[in-house]
Amino acid sequence: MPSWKEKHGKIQTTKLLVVGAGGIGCELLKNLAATGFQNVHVIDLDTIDISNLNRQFLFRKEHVSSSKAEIATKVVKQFCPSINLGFDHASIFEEEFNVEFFKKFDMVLNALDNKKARNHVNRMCHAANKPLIESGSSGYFGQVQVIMRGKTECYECQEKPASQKTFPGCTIRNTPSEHIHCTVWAKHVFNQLFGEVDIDDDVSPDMEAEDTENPNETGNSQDDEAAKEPAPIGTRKWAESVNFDAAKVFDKLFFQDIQYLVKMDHLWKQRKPPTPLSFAVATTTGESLSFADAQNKDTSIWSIATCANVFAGCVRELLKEIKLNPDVTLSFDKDHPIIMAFVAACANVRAHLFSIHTKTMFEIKAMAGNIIPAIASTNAIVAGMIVTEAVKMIDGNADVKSSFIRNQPNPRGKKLSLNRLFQIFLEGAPYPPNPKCYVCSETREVFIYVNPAEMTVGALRDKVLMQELNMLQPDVMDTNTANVVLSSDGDTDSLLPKKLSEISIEDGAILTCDDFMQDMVLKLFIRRANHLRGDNFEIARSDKEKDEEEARKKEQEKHRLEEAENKEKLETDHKSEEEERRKRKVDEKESSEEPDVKRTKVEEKTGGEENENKILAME
Amino acid sequence: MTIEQSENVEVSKQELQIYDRQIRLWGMEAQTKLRNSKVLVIGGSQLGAEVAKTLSLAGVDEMHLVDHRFVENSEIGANFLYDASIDNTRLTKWVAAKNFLTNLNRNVKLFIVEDDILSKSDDEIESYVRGFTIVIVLDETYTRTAKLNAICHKHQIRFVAGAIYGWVGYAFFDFDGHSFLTKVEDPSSQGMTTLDDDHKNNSTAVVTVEDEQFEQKTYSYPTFSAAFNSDFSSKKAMRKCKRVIPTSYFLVKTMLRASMDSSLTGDIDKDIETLTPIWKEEVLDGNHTIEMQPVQPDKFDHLYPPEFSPTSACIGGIIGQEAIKTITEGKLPIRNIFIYSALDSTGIACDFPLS
Repeated sequence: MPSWKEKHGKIQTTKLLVVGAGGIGCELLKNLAATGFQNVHVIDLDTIDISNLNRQFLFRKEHVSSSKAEIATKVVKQFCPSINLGFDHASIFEEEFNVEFFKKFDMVLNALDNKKARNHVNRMCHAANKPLIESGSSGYFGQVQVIMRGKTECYECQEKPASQKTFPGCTIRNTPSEHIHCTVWAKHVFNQLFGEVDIDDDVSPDMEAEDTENPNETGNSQDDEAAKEPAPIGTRKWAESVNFDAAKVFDKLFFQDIQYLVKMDHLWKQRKPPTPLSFAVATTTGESLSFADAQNKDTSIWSIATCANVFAGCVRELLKEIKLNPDVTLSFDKDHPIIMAFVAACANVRAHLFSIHTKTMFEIKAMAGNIIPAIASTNAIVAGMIVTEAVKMIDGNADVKSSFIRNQPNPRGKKLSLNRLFQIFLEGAPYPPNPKCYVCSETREVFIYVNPAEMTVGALRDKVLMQELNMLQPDVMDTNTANVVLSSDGDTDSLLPKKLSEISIEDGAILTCDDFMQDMVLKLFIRRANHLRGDNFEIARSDKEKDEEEARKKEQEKHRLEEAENKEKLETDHKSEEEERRKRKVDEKESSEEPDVKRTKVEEKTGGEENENKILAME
Repeated sequence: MTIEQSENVEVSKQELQIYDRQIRLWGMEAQTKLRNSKVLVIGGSQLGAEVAKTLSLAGVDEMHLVDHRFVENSEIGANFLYDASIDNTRLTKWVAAKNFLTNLNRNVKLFIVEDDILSKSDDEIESYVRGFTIVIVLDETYTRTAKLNAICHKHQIRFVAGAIYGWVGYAFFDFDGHSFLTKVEDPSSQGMTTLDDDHKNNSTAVVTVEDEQFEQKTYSYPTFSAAFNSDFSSKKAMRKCKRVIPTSYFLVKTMLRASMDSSLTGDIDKDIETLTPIWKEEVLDGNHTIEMQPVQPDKFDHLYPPEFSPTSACIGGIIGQEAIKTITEGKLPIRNIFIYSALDSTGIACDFPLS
């Protein structure tokens, strides 16, 4: 008998597209080559960073800043020259990677690190009718999902949790209670002073804010009136007016603004008020490290004096940078040492004023940069599982599995858990498609709750269609009037600033949204929600009112059935009850054999899903 | 050769940049422990490449790599450590891998030994392995693995074994007498979670992480031979066999037994005839039924080389991860045997012998 390879000849002829050459991507390309795949193409727009080197084993220090796709391809060919491995150092959103491009492959393997790209590839595979294997990892946890059009759930059949937690504005501006609130605020301060100014990122006290935690306390007491002065002026403008004098900027952020906050005494009835701190006092609070020393001590806690020192040093350096490149807008970058030091110093001073424990720059970087821990072994396992399922699929084996790696091993010696199989990889058949999915179902409907008098057409395009629904170039038509609302070629740009109601999009309107690139058409049902202000909106996969109505009906139906059953029961004689009891006994006996495993599987499956929800972002 | 424990070396600023994403997972103290650990890996197979990769990236101090065999033609193109542009068949396995591993992490000191260490006397092996933080032996026969394990067990040297049989592979762990961060159970649930009597409890300081309390506890582990010769014949064991023995265990045990008797010829058809009765015996001993096994003898060719690379990746990943856990005295490891079968995509851990 020849080796197993002869039975799996399709490995050599199958054409694969790999999207991503990062943590999972490196492992995946290695496994594919070693398994004997001959035709592989990889796309990645990223370049190599030093923090990738602990796991992206195809890359070396001298490769930092080079294209991941290019280096990965080169290194894989070094050990496996026979492979026909091509690459593109490009974004998967590029127009060249259209449906026709996807159709050239037999299967697509995702090794991505963000939801937006995952959604997009999911749609392209749906449109091209190609199987997709989706994957992710986070610390010790990983998962692999097999997606086949019409047979399994697609990546978007279930709503995914937001990748980044958001906090209410007033918590950030007025009443931080955790260090993360101060870190978010510090990032806003950076943007206000040196980056792109976003009005949503205001850093000064919010004078009109009600106390969210104690909503009954209004902010209109007489004392608070006093706090409303002076009229807030743009932070950047103000800083320019004092020539970015570090001490003055510091005093404005940490003395004057805090003074105003303290005066809003309704905020402090159940909280400890913050303590204003001037630059002069700050520089003498604790021993101070020099600016350069402090930057090197990113794993120790800085004193407040050090923070003040770092603050001043960073303001000076950032100002230089702005003056040197006046055309470039700085944006927050956790790997920019000065920006990161500025944010860490700012966050810690604010935390100190609000009696919150200060943290090291190393820790603050994780929060500010939303860093997901990542290790080589998890990625190796995930990539291994991807290739196992890929080989099964190309062999036409119907028994494909989606898997999770369980991240919480049970303690050894736990007697209870000894009684069952302990799956480290929780595998199970993929779920069937969600009939209400707006990507892969026939219905393709989304309900949006907005205030049509306030939301603009531009916001509908940018915030709803592109950001929330991940479309690339939406064309939109009002089905009632046949008016073109949005045209991806720019013909309708004059409509962008108009409110929805101005072009008669009101409650009940149905918009047909078409994305040519993703080959996707969906219906957007407009529902009025007067309580929503501005461009705010809520999105639902089904009609809330209809759902409620249906739930009510179901409840009534259930009630009727129960009543009928009860009646029947009364009529049932003793004998049949006996029979029922005997039957149950037999069931119980049988169940002590096998079903423990089955039951366990069900339990564990739910466990896995919960885990999935905990994932913030994946590699 | 003995390796003296050198004074603790701290993690440098440059290492910190490279190890950033893992330090955020296992912490600075763990990274320092890795930085001061000496690892022995015996067996330069594809699985060996996976394990060496994971531990090198993790940042151990010394990695000693043992194999006396030459690279085979079939390994070129499959083992990612080899540079296919040179003639590797004239090199022993780890020598061919040296260049890649050196560049993979220059902080790791590599020592390559082209010697069949396991063929030496117990005394010689004993004096060689003492001083290593962990000993890992891969793709070895039952007898040689058990012999090395007995020596390591005696000296409480952390021990891992693993092997790939085509599409199926196993990992075995013996961390006898070593401690792990163990969750302090809520006193109210104590009754349900008492530790086995043979577990020596050695409580030290309690650490609190996100409202959960942890303490270092040591555990006792059975030897390789004890684990792979579990007696399933007792009445108590018979009842739970179906629930606690994964069907892939019988495949692994069959291959281990075959390696013990050196009854395999390399001719797959002939060997399947040899393997089938052994496998049937193991299945029945484990109180399972032959018909219920998802993998039947017609698929036994999948237990043969070449190594199915995804299986090496999964087993290698688990071995690397568990090695890191024990070196860093981190969170609890999985049980003492882990088996992955790509034939039915299962990855299951078990605790053998049955208590």
